[in-house]
Amino acid sequence: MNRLLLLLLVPSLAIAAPAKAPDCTVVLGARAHLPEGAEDGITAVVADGRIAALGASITGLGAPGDGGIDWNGRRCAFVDGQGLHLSAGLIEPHSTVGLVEIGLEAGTRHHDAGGPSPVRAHVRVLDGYDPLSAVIPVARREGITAAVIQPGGGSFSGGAGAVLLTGRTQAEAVVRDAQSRDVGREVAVRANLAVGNSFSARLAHLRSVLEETRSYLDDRRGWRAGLGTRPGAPPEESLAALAGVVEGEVPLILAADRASDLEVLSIFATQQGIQLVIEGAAEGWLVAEQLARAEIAVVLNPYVYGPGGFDQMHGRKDNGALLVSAGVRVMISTRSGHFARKLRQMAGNAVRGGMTHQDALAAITSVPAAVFGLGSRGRLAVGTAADVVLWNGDPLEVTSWPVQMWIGGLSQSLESRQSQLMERYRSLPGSPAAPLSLPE
Amino acid sequence: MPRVSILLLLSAALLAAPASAHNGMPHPDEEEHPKGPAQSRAEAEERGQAPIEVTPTVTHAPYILVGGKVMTANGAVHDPGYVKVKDGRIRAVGAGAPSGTEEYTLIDVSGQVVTPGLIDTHSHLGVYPSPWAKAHSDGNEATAPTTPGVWAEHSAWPQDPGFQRAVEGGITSLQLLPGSANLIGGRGVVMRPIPTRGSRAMRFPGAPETVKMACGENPKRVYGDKGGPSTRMGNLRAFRTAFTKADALRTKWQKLETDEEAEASPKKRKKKGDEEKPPEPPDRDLDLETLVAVLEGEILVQVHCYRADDMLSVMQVADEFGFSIRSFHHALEAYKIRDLLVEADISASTWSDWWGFKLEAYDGIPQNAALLEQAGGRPIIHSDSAEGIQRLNQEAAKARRDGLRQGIDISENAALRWVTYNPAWALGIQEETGTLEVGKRADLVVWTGSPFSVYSEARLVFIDGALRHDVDRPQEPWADFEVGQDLPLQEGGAR
Repeated sequence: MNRLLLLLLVPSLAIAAPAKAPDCTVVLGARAHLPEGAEDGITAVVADGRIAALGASITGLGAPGDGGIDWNGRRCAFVDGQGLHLSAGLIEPHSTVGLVEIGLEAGTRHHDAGGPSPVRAHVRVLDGYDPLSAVIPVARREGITAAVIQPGGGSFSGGAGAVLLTGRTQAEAVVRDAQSRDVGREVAVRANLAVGNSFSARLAHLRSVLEETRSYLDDRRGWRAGLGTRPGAPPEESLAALAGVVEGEVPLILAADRASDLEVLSIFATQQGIQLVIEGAAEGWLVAEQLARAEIAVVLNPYVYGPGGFDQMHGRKDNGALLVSAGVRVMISTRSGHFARKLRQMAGNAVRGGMTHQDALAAITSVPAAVFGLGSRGRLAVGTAADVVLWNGDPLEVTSWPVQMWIGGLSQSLESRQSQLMERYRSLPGSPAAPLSLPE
Repeated sequence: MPRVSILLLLSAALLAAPASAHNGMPHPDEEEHPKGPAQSRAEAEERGQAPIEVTPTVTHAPYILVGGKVMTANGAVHDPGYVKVKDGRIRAVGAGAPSGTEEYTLIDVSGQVVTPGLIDTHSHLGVYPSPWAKAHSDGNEATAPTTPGVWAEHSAWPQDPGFQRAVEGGITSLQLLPGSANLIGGRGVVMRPIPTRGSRAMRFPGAPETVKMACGENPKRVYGDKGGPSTRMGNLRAFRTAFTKADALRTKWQKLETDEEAEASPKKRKKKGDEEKPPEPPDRDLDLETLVAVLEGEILVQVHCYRADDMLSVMQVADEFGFSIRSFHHALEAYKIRDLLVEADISASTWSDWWGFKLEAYDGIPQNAALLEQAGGRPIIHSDSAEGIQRLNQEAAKARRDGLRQGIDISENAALRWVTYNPAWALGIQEETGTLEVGKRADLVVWTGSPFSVYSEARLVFIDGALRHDVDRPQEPWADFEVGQDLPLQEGGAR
């Protein structure tokens, strides 16, 4: 709370706050969006970076008093959750937040590696992540606490990473595990059906790169002396970076909409033994069973239900609902950085189109966390990382907003460069127009 | 002040236009096709707009929407209230139970919300239709930086499935615009999203002509390597050059009209003698004629601009040549100059939350509309998107929310006007639609709940009193393109 106050007083600090000891905060009696559904009157204790306790009654909890509440011998801050909603922090499954500062300015874009070969799976998009980007707080103040950031371009664009929308340094922001402590874990490889003039050709290209990866992994020296010497051969380090994909450990993300393409990709995923995540999937409902059998997760845009393109002719409003009922893991994404804040509106519209509120919220919290291996994030449950948002209404409703939020148990600023511009121009002609006072 | 008189003229012209007239012109059957050169600019305009297809008039038996919450968008909210409709017009609006219901069918909308139909000032439906295809790229005549002689109407494909999708989201009027590649991209057109065979029959009856201009990054990016302009100062020179030429043509047309008057005067005729040649009209120039009409105040000027200083530059050009700007579009920095926009009575058509896709969009803030409202201006939430136009009510809801979030108190009525009355004003159709008032066209939406909820559907949508959408009774697609493309939900998904 003190830090929040400080941020209001000193705007220049609002970009990112230095790490400090985790808060202990009790949210009393809110409507909580739990994995099993929404429940009223739930109290949550956020302590030591985790959700330490959660339920209708909490053992060891005292009565709220002057400036705090006692919980098992600790003095905690408290928030009256009456009339408020509590949810897990939202996770954007495909964002360019921190990678693209200004869409049309090439010098500010760090998501597309370019280069001579379309195969550049070894390029790590996390390396270009800027935790000081002004885009991050804009997304965060709409309740987004984490994002899967993805590269673009080429046929194998590079490795996708996961970031928490907090901190001044990559060390604070990048989600890592024991193996990737220095550089952060790559949660997926991004690919595109991009090389070739037909779906068949594009898929053939992906297949041949995956096959070549296998032969490379079988006999690296042989590849270097043989296939690797041909003109246009993919970079060796790129094949090495695809090891996790062909071993079925690391998801491969692709975009496709047409039902027939999705059907073929389902077979492709099974034959290759790879984990496939398909973005778009506008006509997914037509082949929902096949997608489910191949254990393909999908990332939907719930707005695609008109013939926006020839690959989306048979989109339906209830695509998401139909896919969920077939057992497909469904996520929702803006596939954007600047527009990531529209994420919960998209999920709300998915509900309007027929998804349950619970499934739509899961599509932007627990499902991406599970698909991309973000540990316990994305769920409100005891022991999970406390990425938590307290809302003044339904998180998926366009009239509500976050009133307080925590990432890893740390209370987060709800300021952004935009809210600062707003304050600067609250009265005209804007605060810098006034001259300085004369020196003493 | 010229701005005021032009606006008065426009609204007077609109009021005078009878409901059945096509932009005030006679039906083609009533008059022979004219021959020879146009003898006045008005005649030239008229010929260019003569209809072939007559907009079908659909009339239901009189009906009343009863029992729902009626949000009029002119301040009054009746809960419950009623709206009486007869012959495509609103006959009564009020609270409680209506009287004099004998000849009316009652439509029960209890628990639902009635608002005016939504109006989008910025759409490229029809000119960039779906499905996206190279062959459908008809929105930018990117062959020269100023092309005021092209009309969006002539690109608009009435079969765009997006029109029906827009109606399903509560849209009842919209402005189709050329893109923003060009400094002066051509004429826009105010349309009804209704199924017709040609785009002209979609024109909103009596609506004024509009023109699209664009400042800032787009024109200089598109023409920087094609002979210019390549800078913002180049943009401004090109604007001023175009209007200088238009001013010269305007003088010629004015002279012709003065000479004709002189011809008609018996005193002058005697003086000049019988053998004197009749005055020759100036050579037709479609590009300049559009700009002459701008200078005459007949065309409402719609300018794509993001940055505050860019908007001020265009306002300077408008002042220099004596025309007025009706709406800045996108206008992400309108909040920085809201006092000046209010003073000049220029509306701002903006988004709730778009920003950052280019440098001139970096300072966009979601309180733009709320700050302009607070200053007494005319904020408008527009779509510029085939997707956004399907849920413009939600966009207004977000823009209101973002104001409330920063302590700017915005009423529901005000936010509703961002997508009803204010856009109607920007398009010069505010006397005909945009609020629920007696005598206006019955452009109505019945929402399943609050129009500001993400979960609400436009349940019933009426245009000119005709029911064009009922969420419970799916219609066959309006677009021929969608015929045979619809797959029913059935096992195996087979056709």
